[in-house]
Amino acid sequence: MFKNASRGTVAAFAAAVPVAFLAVFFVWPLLVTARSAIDGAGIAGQDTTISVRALGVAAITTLGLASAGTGLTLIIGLPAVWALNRRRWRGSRLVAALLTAPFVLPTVVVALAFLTVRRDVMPFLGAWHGIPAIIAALAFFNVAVVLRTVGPALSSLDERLVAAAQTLGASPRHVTMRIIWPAVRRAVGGASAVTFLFCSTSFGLVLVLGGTRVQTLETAAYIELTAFLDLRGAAIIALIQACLIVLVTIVTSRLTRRPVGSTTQTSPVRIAATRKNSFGIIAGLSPAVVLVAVPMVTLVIRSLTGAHGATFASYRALWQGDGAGASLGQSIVTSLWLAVVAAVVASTIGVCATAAAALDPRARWVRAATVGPLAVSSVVVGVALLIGLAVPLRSWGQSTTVVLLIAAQALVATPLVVRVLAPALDAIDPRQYAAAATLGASPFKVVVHVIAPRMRAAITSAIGLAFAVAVGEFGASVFLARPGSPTLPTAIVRLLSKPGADNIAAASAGAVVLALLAGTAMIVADMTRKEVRR
Amino acid sequence: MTTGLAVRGLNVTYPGSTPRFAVRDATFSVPTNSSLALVGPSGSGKSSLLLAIAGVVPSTGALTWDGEDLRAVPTYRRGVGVVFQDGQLFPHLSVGDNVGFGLEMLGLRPRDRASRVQELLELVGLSGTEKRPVTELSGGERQRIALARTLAPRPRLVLLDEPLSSLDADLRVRLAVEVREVLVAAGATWIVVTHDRAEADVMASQLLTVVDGRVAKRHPRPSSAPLKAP
Amino acid sequence: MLVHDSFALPDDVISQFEASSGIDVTFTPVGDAGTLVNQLALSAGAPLGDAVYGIDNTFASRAVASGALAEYVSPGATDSVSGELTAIDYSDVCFNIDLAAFDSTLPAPVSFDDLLKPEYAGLVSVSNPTTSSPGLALLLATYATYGDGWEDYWRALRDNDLEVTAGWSDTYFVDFSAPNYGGDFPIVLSYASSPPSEVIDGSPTTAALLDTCFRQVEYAGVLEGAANPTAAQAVVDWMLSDEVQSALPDSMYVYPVSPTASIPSEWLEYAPLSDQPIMIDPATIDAERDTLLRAWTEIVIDGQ
Repeated sequence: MFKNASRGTVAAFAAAVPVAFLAVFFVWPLLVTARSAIDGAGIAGQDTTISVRALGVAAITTLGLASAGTGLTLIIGLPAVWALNRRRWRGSRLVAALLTAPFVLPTVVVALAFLTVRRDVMPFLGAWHGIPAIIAALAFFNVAVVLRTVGPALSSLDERLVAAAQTLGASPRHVTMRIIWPAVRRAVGGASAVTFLFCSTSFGLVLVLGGTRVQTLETAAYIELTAFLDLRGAAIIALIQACLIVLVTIVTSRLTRRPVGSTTQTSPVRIAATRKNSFGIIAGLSPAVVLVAVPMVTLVIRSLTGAHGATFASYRALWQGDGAGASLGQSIVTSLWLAVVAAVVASTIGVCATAAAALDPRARWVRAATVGPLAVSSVVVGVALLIGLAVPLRSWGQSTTVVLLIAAQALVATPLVVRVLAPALDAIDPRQYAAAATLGASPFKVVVHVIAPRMRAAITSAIGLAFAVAVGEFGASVFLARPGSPTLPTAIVRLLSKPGADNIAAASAGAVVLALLAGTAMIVADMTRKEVRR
Repeated sequence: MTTGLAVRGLNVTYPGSTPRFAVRDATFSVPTNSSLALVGPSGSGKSSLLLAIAGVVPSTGALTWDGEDLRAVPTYRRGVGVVFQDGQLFPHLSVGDNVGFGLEMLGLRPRDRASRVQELLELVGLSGTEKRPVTELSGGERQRIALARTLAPRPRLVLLDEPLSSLDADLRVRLAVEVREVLVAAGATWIVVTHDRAEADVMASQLLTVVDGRVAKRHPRPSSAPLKAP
Repeated sequence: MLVHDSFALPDDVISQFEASSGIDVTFTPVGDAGTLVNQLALSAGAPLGDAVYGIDNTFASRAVASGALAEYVSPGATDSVSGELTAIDYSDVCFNIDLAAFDSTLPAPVSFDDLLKPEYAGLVSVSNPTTSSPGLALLLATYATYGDGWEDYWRALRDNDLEVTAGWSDTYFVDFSAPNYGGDFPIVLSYASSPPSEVIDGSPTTAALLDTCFRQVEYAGVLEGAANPTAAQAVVDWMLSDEVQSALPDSMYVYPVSPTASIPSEWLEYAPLSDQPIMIDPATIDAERDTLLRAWTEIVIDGQ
């Protein structure tokens, strides 16, 4: 049947997969949550006792932390991107790669790293209820966004434009303001917007680093569920968070303007750095390097330090599964297979959504819709799934929670999969489809013989990316993970609330393992993707 | 005293661990209100020579204008205008803003810039295009705007680096004459760099060849070339 | 059996039971006491296990009201709740002090009121009742002691530079100034059973303030809809046996309910229980808990 189906039919079938998945695991739970927020009662006949004041405080804290985090990110990131991209110099690519590495780390790893820094190295980060540590951790993550977004804009600036401006009488100040800034303005705006969004959805960081003194909307939802068992209150907060994020997204997308074209046909000229520039380069890079290096190094050292000095004991305990490492070792296995399944699910959905959009322009909205879960944050996804599906369906048995956990991870990973697959698919010249058709290939055969082979590398890369995201997922997992079999991130956080140097060391070892898992998957995904471009 | 540009023993080196000379021991002069063409094959260092005079790349040797050391001032105060090979118009500015850029740098207010901009656009035959985005211009139009932009702040010396090489052959011929007429009408002193001997004959009254970074001695103009005196 | 994260029993005691009864027992830690009850409530009727241990009197009513528990009380029980929970152990949540920090110039505090005195400003660390069960016990104790005046008490405490942490282990292992930990706070919220661990060379370094104690009782029960109800009942009964009850102090730092169990001698000397611990019945706790927690957060965290 497929072999002779028309493009429209194949597209419809392909689109049905992501649509069904989103409808069941995203839209329906959100609707139930919304209704629960508006009128529903919680478990055991309680009504919500949350106060509007508390909601207001949480909302303001969320926005305040996001602003401060974005500010610090720009303060540290802009000099760094200037130092890396304004002039060519040997090794800049390597330094840039190292500075963007934090971005792939799971939030729990970063939270634990900064916790360790706060305890061992810089106690001042714990002042004011730990807010400096949170802001520093936010900047840690998002410097990578600035480097990745503003870097290309800066390095595509043709030095000859600068020379032209100089010959027209522009002093260095004028050159910066009238020539360089307009070229990067849009990228800086985009980076700020993305950073602000990431900062507003940094549940794991605030939970671990803020103790209970700092409440953002997401941690407030968590407290509502765990301390008060107030499902309706959690639903209300989740909805407010979702609306807030959508609002921020709309506002920031209005602020970023369209790109300027180029007037030259040759690739931009860049100047190599000279000895004179080295002081400026080092000065511009130092804050970023310190910000990135200190937490990671401290985390690794802490994982190797037991109660009596340097040792591999924590890692051995993980391997053998005894003592504090017992639950962690088990959770590694749990996380691995959950993430693999979630990655496959996410990739399947991503492939279907991308294929449908490519085959039939009417299906473009399907591809755009997959971004939904990312747009509302993983905590909202977790709360919605809990209230919308897990609790009502609990009589269906244990396996429902596992299915929902996989669904949550897949929902969060799918938008990134689509972002990798879509350009790869777009890169295939549409005339190839026409050529294949004139040679007798039906739409189905076109998919099998023209599209699939060209997409193999992109799909591999997407699976790796989805795996990395799924294995580090925390915001939704904390609400859905089965108590007896936690995922690695949730197990690490649970260990943190137990006393003793051994537990912290075990948690650190677990965090290092988690970082390696996610990081390796990301690196593999990145390398495969670069091969596609080549 | 020699008026205009005087170059003596100019050296330009490529950056790197072992220095290589782009230009070695160049010596020539361009009196005020005259013009010079530097002709040579690609890679002969003629563009580097121009950029060194403008101050965009570093150099050693004597470089003076009306006897004053040019090297005492950075590029943006040197009063040397450059028309780059592919125009190098600022993509984020309109035609009018591009042409008026040098005037803006001089501190002129928008009202005062407008009339000069208009004057120059007329000079290059593109009146009324002030508001157009530069990304919509054709190649020939771009080069003419680039010329207008360079001339607007009345630089004492205009350097043209292969101004026509990015254009089609037939356009080149026509534009070469036009550019020369514009420069004459503007009362400029200029040096044009090109690899095309015929183009050089049209665009300047003197000619020097550049080979492997060395500037050959003055060549008399071939008598068959038709040209108005500057 | 679902348990909380602090659960521990010696392996030989467990294997002895498994051998004699033929029942294979797996203990699944679920989180702290509050999380345990929440998970029960969320999965009521479709339980995650067969039996549960670790529900304490501050959350007992919520567990009962959720319908997650089956009707069963062990025959040997000394205390029960609503016919569904059997008391297994108890402890007192009291302020502990670092003995070295107090002398004739600065006498040790004795009562709740003492903590408001200016000489103890900035010396007290407690854990947040929203996230910590001993913190909740303290909140309830002040509620029982001061009635409606409890809010003023906490305002005064807050104004006396009170330190609030997220959990008991942050308070005890990081903040406490006892020789083993070296923190900055000599007055911390902990248990009556904590001092024996701080005995160095036969001398105690800490003591509990027995006038500030709140009685916490921990219960076990059978889950409604369990797959193995009979085995679950057997396990609950076993927890009242002398073997388990005598192992409780060393494993979990709690007192056994059974009068025939043996208690370590250091406990008799260094961990005396209060004669009159503060107690509130579970139904009242359930009715007031959420309001108390929210009001507390506004007063102490938000500064109202």
